[in-house]
Amino acid sequence: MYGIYAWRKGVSVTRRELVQLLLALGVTSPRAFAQVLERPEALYDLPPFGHITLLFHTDLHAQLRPHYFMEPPNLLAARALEGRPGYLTGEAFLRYYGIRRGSLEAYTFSSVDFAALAQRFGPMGGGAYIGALIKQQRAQAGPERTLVLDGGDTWTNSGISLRTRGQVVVDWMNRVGFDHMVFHWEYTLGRARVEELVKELKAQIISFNIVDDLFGDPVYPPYAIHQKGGYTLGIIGSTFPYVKVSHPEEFSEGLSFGVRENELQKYVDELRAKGVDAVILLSHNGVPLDLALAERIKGIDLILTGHTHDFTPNPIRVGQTWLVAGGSAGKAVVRVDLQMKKGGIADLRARTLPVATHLIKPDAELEAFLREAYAPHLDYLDQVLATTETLLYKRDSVYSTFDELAGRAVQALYPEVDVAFSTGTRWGTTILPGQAITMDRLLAFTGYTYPELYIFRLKGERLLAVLEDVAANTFNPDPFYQQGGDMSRVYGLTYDLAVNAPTGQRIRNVAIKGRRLDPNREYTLASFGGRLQRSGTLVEKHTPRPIYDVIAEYLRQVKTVNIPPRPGMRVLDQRYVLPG
Amino acid sequence: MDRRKFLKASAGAVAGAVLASQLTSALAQGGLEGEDIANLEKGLQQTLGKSFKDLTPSQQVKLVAPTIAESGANVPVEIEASLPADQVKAIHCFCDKNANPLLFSVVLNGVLPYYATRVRVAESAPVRAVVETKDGKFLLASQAVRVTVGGCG
Repeated sequence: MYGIYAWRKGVSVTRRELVQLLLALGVTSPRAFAQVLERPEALYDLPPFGHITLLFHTDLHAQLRPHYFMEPPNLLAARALEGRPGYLTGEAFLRYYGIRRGSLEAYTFSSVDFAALAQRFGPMGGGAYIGALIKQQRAQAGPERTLVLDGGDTWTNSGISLRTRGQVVVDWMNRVGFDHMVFHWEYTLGRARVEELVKELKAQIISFNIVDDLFGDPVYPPYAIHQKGGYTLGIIGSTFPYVKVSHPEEFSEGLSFGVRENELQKYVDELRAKGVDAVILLSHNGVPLDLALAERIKGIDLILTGHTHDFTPNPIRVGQTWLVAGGSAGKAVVRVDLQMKKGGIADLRARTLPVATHLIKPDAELEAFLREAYAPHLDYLDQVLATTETLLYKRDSVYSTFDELAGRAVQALYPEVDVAFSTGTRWGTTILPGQAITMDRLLAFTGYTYPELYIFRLKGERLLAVLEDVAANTFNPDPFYQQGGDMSRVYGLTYDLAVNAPTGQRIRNVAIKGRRLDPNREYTLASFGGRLQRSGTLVEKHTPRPIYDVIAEYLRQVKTVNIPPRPGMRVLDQRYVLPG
Repeated sequence: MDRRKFLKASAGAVAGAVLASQLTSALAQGGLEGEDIANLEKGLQQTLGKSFKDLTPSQQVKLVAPTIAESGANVPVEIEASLPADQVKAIHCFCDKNANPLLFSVVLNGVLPYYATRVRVAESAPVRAVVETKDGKFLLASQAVRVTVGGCG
């Protein structure tokens, strides 16, 4: 078991940095310490604990190649939620979890010193590395006591996924060996394709809240029961509640989703009545909503949650319920070891293990599989479109340099556009200064199955209402009224944002191209990856083109991009931090 | 960082991971999103001959509706009164911002006080469940339902 990791040459991690990393990961005994110093890969060697092991991975967004991914510099929140997990970021995150600046953990879980640490620690994730870590952890804990769970947002949003309609990711999952899965973006492949892939998937889909929209019956088993280590676990699956609201409805025709807390309570009670020792919720609700749910639903022992891409280096406790989040982008695998007792979890050890490519030896079989799967697409995916001189990132509550790039591209190709919208999605990648922008990296930001860029006309007052609506979804103080995405990004429009203002008053002082918004004037807008265009009148002379083709064309023209972060909005009632 | 400092830091981090459950109370204050009592009043007067202030918020009325609707044109609502069947006369349902705020009225005639159906919610606004008792009381439960336009998930 020990020999499978290699300390890769040429990556300069000093002894001092390593010590910090180990401390942050909780390696404390002198003996363990000495061992790890000789073999840094030993941070993945966890001593046995408890009776059952859960390996949790989520929100890969089909990023099967190692890549960089910077966590959000800002996660703005209403005052009632500020400083809570789900809204912790940057230095506040490091303080909350007691993580040292400059450590691998700081690099994985925060945006602090990102560009410098990226040089030091290299790319993260990738199918061959994630798979190697899962296989190694399963072998270490004992396969017969281990379950491997996927939290959804796994099959789509990358170049290779688009080219194969999710096939390569499903093949990868089958080779790694997952037991259960829930959904969200998977449905943007279309319901028919999802059902086709489900037949091939070896993992079992569980979801109590994917129901027939006429009769309300679950389409998949709502839960699964497992006997492990002498105890019985009930695992309930919860798919993203807002599939229909977040994407075009035709992708999930005939289905209905939703939080459905009464039904969830019913299934928890049903499992309890069957005498399971613990109830686990495998959820794509996200940290804020699941923390709120944990306060209302009685009888859940542990929630494993995805969607909002948060990391929880230490598990969170709400009443009798534990919560652990799984991050995103292939950056980590979470291992949770459960010490069971009759009728519950006596104790729990949760470790968020970074998928550090300089510490993990890729799985040879997976590497060969991926090489072959990518081979027919390399000409397309690896074409270099341009080079960036500055950091291109996506994650943030309101602004990013990638969205600025999208805005510039749209403006350049459609000069009549007054305001270019870009999506508040949380997935993407990060491109370091000096790196090439390839088609694959562009698709990591824009890999939509509905990529069309629409040019349409909308009255000023409607435009303002749309911004308010998105702000209400993002900044609502009640997680039950949040959809869990970030704020739409706007290019060509400036505004002041009052996060804590009531709905209808968060967006202020809106100006378009430097002139005050006229509620009665019609503006020309551009948007993609949403339903915004339906509110306005399409400009017919423009046939919608995929946003990635628009950006690619612009990149080929300019060859080099230089985008220092300069947000067009001002946050009135919160501190707003620029990365770097 | 030396070992002693580290142990202190990590102990703090572990202890800090327990969350107080204060969220619910922090949210209990303030009005419901999209509240429009003036418009609601029209429907209340027309249907019940009553005003909003004549309604009594009550735990005996249970209203189940999604917080964010999948489609404003088709919102499932469920209303239940925890009262004996022979004490309930009717169940009414309203939405603050609909042009016609009345969604439906059901006269019960002694059957169990429960009704579930689908309604149209024009824009983000509270849905109101009003249970009319035989002795002339009007019991109220409210819940805001968001009807979102953007959907940039």
